[in-house]
Amino acid sequence: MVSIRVRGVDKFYRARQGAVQALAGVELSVDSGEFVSLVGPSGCGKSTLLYIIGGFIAADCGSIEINGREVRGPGLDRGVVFQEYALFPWLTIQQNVAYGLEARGLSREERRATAARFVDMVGLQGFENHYPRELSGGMKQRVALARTLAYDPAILLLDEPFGALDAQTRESMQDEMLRIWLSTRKTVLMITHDVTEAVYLSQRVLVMSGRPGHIVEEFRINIDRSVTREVTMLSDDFNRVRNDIWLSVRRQLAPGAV
Amino acid sequence: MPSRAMTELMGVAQRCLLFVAPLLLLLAAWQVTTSMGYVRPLFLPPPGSVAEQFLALLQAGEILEQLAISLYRAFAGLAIATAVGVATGLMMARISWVNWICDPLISFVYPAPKIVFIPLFILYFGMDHLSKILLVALTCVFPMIIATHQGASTVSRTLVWSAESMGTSERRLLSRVILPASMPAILTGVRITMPAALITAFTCEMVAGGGGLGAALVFAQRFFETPTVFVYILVMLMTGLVLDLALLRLRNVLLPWHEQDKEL
Repeated sequence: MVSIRVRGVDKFYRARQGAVQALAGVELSVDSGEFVSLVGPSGCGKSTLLYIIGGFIAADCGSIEINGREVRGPGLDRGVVFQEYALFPWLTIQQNVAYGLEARGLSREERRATAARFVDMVGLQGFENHYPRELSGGMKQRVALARTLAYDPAILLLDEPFGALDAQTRESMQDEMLRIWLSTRKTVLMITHDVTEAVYLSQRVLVMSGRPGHIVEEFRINIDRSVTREVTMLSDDFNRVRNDIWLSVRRQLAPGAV
Repeated sequence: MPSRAMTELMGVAQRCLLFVAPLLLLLAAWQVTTSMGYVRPLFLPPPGSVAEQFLALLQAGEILEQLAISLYRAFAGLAIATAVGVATGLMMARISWVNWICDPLISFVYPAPKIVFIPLFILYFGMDHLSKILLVALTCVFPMIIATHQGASTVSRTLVWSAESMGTSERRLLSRVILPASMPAILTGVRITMPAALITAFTCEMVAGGGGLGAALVFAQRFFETPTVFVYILVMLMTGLVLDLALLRLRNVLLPWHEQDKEL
């Protein structure tokens, strides 16, 4: 079943020297329970596309459907995790994670219990009453993930979620993301500029062109997710497809050079 | 090897000394100038007679009474300005037509000296508290609007989007996200506006009378009681300093989540 369907989306930005086209005729669809990543050169409009699917900004042309219904704005069916965490700095970790539960109509006690469960899930027990500024980048991103998962949206939209983290933290967050996806099987659309990350996590990787962005290539990733990171990353299958995608992104950077 | 607490204490002592030393130097210069007889006591009374007069007025309850009147006017005016300024600033940041209307008006009125309205305000609102409170409010409301607008219009869009995606309506966004995110800017606004509130209250009192530190100062001057004039000037200076420090403390209490200011 198709969960996210994007048809013929164009987007223009007003700039000082007239309009700049960010997206040109984007077509994509993500099946329910599928993990899809979108990679492409910087400035290709991939974050713009995610914001349009999130319902935060409007497309100038084309349509976005979530489970067959036209997107008119943000909704609880789509949970978003931003690169810069976007935690509410004036709320404690507990309160941040509980934020989305209010709209779900849960009682005070249920909200507290659910938030506590998700704080535990991302391994931050003991930090419930801390403020975000007291946490490291990796911990903040765990809170952001917990906050989004807590209110149980069917779709996760991840905007370069691990881009601001150091290499070790990023890998452990990727492992955590994989574990969460394998156990919840949510529909995930992830924006990233890290090809290795895209291949490691996704079932399908879409490559976007340089601006104005559109999908130019699609790669299916068939790797065994039950083995350890070391086994996956050192396998020939993994590296072959990773190199193919990497070259595809390189071609978008400098057409004709590769 | 001194302990860490000891080193810290020494640091604090050193900073206090650095802060107080220039003031002590000024006091010494004052003492020397007067005791050498360079100036007549009518123009510059010796520190001793000012201190004596201070204690006398304090014991008579005069200082606290005038201080209370002035603070009431300054705080009431500042409170009105904060309430109106925060509401206006938030609406300007979120509703474009409010911004279109208010922005030119504020640019026009903000730099103008509001103190020139004293005669008219006395005419409209009388000699007592009300005219002074309203003039303080008029002076302070513009910097409060500007501070709030600045804070509310620079709230990160991902913060707003996060709230929206978690089911916060446009109407609730103001109280759930925009206002709390603007609190540091608003409290900074209060802190930089507070001296203007005091200045306006004192000036109104000096011009229009009706009690308060400003009126007491002008009254003493009329009888050439220079030590009393100095007492009230010093009380006004101290009031500003103490209130500024109090607001800094209040900020740390109200905003435990915010990166603390490093000043003082």
